[in-house]
Amino acid sequence: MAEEDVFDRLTKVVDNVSKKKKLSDAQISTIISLVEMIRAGDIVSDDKLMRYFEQIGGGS
Amino acid sequence: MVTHKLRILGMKWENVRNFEQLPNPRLGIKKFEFDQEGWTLKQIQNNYGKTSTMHLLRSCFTGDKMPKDKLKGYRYRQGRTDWGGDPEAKVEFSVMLSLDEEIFQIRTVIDWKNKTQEFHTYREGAQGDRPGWNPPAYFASLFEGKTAFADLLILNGEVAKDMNRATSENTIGMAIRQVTGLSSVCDLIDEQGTEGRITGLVNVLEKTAGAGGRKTSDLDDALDECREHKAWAEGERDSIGKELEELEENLDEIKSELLDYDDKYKSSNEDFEKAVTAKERAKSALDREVRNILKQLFNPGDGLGDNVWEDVKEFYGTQIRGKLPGEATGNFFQELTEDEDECICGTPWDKEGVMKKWVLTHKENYIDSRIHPRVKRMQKKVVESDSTTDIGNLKAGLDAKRKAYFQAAKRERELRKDRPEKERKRYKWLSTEEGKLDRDQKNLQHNFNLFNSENRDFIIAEDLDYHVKTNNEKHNNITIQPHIFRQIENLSQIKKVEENLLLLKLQTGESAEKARGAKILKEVLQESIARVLQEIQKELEVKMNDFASKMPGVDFEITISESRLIFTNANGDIQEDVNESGELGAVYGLVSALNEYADISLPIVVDTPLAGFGKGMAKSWKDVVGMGFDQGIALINSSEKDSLRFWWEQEELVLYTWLRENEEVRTGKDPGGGDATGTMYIDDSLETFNQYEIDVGYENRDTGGGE
Repeated sequence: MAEEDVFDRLTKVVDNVSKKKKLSDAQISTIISLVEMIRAGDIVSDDKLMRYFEQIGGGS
Repeated sequence: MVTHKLRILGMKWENVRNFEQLPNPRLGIKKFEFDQEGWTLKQIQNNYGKTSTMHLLRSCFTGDKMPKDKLKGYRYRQGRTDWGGDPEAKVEFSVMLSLDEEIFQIRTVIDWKNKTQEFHTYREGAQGDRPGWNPPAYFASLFEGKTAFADLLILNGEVAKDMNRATSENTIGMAIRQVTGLSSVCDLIDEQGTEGRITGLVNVLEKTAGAGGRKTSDLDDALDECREHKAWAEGERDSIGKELEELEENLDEIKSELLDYDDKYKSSNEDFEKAVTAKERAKSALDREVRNILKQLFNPGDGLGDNVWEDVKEFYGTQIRGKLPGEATGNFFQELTEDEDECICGTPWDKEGVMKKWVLTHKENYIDSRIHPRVKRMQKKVVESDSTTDIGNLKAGLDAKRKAYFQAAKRERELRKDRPEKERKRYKWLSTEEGKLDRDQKNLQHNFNLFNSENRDFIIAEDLDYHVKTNNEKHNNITIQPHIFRQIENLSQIKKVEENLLLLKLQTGESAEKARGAKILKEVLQESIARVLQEIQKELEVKMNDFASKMPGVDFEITISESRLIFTNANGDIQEDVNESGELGAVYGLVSALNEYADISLPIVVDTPLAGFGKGMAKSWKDVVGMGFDQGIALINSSEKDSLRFWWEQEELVLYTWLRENEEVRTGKDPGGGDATGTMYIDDSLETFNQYEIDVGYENRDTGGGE
């Protein structure tokens, strides 16, 4: 499992865990987009993270 | 197949410890280059600066500055300028690297007088040497601030020892996160008692809510009480931790004194030494036999004996062409949906019954595509198998080895009786004390874990979450009652209550959505990362054992915990004290296995690699470690050079020797026998490498490194 595979695996597991927790598709794709953003090496500022919270919290 | 390739091209030193300027502009090689796809052996006398070079290299890789109080230790030490060095000058060290197609250099300058350290980076096409640590982005993403990862590539015996000891540093867990790139995601969540960024932001939200949100005083009060209770639990944990630390120090001293007694008798009494060696050998033979038996027992042919096994084979032979009846698996899935509360994957059945319906509709499909080929493969294996021995023979072999071990242990005990009365009494007292402290240590560790453990299995087994759960869905099924949560001792569970109280409080204000989102995100990431890390850990263990088992001295199974490697012998007992070669073998195995996750072909740099292995193990070291890494650089002394002669004499390796101008190659001394003098330079000839210190008698040289 090289780094690419580790993140592929993480994305899949996030998807499974989210489904188990009965999150909506919108919530799941928001969480996955955050993981992808980190994987791409982008900086996730506090403001950006707060916006993710808001989107996930209001996305059910 | 990896996507990237990192190589160390060369290094330079200026006014570093014993090095004036290397490569030396007047003597020896002018360019110091390494083998890009193999090993480079650098022969350097002990105390010249091998370990300092390792530290400087780590610092250049990670961009982490070294502790200020250590900087003075890197200054030029010769106290004279006529050899070309300057004892007053700043220290300079640089490493030239290539990452894929790009060549770059990281240089560090240490102003030891003012206790400052700075970096400079040279990158092709980037206007030369520029201040700051600015390597290519991929290199930075791999190494920036990641000491745990860099330690594995720039490896010495001390690092290996640290890895194998229980520390609060969580070195291995950190290295796994850093190598796999998961550390950037892990930074978001709470791990090992450290608050992640999500929790940090939720605390910010609380402050905002405090200013503008509608606080409910009950929740506020409960939250305050919970935090007070958390502070109490932290105090208790720290107090037990301190007691535990003191006890372990005491235990170490006792163990060390016991070993000293044995060593003393080993060196003064030949019979005793022989008895100890015989006992150790008998123990190893017994361990090997147990492992062998376990392996044999996995062959059912051996367990059942020839007569029965032939019948079994015949039966499977008749079945092999047949098809599996549909009911075989159909019934299994039918029963699963009827009798179990959850699916085999662990997911509880949904209330709507969609999952059960899916399983029952597709139950026949599993036979052809999944189960059928596996059963057929197993049947074929059985038919083709042989029984190689039987239980009687296995038992006889084990009995013989066990008897030999008991006899050897008895002989050792008897010889111990020859010691003077006073020493025997002291030895007996120490042994009793060791046993007592061992028990106390286990009890204290257990008490410490009750407060500190985050291990889910431990928490469930000890019922530490008993006072956490409630049936109140409005409160997320977590208690908010102070008189109840005050009974919780475990910190992770107290934090769970605290987090929930905070969430409930925030839900009454304008930050409700954000707080809810933060909770969901944290829960999903925590569970997902835990699962992925567990998978990686298991994979690593397999690869690491496969690698390490080829090393001499590694006759145990290695498992990985967050903070250390755990060694289990063939009897299933955890071995606290593993010999040094075993420790090193395990760490080499871990490094090799971890490198496979990095998506990059990496170099390894090792300092006095045979220290701890002994001369007899040089061949195994070369076969396993020498062949296990794409680029290797070993800083060795002349004794190790001699032990590895079979390697560098036969294969094309890049060989260097560090010498002083007036130093005689064969003695490592000046003519007349004084310490070597003159400016230091690097020689790349095979003849010098071969003859360096050849007249000294390598067995007299210290194989250990250190400066």
